[in-house]
Amino acid sequence: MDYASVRNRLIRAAAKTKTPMVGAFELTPSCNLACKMCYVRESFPKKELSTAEWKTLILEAKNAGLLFCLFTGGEIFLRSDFQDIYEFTYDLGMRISLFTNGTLISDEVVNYLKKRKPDLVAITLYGINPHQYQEITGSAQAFSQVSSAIKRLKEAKITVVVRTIAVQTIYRHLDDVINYLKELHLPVSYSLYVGPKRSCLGSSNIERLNPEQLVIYQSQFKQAFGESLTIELSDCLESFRCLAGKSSYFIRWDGMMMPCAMLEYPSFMAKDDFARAWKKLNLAINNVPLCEGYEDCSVRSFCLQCPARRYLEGGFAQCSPYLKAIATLLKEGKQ
Amino acid sequence: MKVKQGFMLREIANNYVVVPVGKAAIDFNGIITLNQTGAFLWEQLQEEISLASLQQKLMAEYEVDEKTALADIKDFIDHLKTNNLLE
Repeated sequence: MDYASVRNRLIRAAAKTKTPMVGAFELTPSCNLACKMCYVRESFPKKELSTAEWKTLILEAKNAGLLFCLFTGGEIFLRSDFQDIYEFTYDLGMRISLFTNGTLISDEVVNYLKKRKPDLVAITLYGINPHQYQEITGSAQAFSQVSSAIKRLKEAKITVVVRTIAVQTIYRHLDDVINYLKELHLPVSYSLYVGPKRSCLGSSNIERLNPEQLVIYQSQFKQAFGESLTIELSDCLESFRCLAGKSSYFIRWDGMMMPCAMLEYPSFMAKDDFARAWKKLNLAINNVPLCEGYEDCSVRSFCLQCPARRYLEGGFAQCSPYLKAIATLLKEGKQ
Repeated sequence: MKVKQGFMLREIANNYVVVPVGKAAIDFNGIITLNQTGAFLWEQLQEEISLASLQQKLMAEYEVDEKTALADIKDFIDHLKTNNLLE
């Protein structure tokens, strides 16, 4: 059995015993890039958890069953104590994945990562040349920094996954982006959903694709790289089809436990009592309703809906016109 | 015989997993899943132990005959050797 299959088997088993085996930790909301569509980045200082507070929380999470740990941001390598937190967590017996924009991965970073290898380093690619990076992130030089980081990590035999997101800048150069990704010879992970608003600014997200564009984007990526897999329960009548609140959770920069990165409700403070927050979250997800008409919906098997996306689109119980339009197009494409 | 340093046995959600810790297991990346017997043997192998002692301990812990115990241990040891986990 390969590693991914073993991992998935363990996570599913954890959901049955309500064990919080998968945790994402947003170490900071700060970022050195300024992406047009970002829902995390804060332009004003926030009081993130301290090194000691993160270590205490991660130790409590380990005692509760954490095995698969994701460090994300913001940009994780902006934290001067990242190496300390990383090595502490690794030595507790955790398998760690890292989400990064790849601009701050120096030789020094690679040196300590290769001594305690993460499961993977996932780098989000915002373009395939300096011009596109300037357009979307506000930094042209970020492109060469990311390219160097990928090279360094590959040389150190650290698994790199390249992530892309469905935004206009990528869509305008879709064929070129796909060809570029193929030439990297790395696993590719692509996400389809981008929220309607930048939550920190409250403004409309001009970067997200319309339903027609999204279906083309999905089709091209699927053809080039196969399905971008997440663990979901089959077409079930539960609000949460994923494992959020069942065996996984997200801890925000301030220590608040949420079902996932996109969903701020229900949430509970985990900083002072991890086990209590998990128990509350595990119960609270049962109170999140399905969207109205879900049981009789003819396109539900094709819908990207989930509680987080419904919440961002207007409300847990509402059927989102945007998501329904995508589902309808996907179903028509299958017929 | 003895297992290498740099690994930790954890029991999570009724599963036993062995994960690398520290810098000692630099060449190992991933996890090893064990059943209950495997976890028992792994714990005994934290200290230097002979095949005969391991067999006696397994028979004392589980109600298995000599032949079955020896076969199980050999399978387990082979698995550890294949993955370069023995000192």
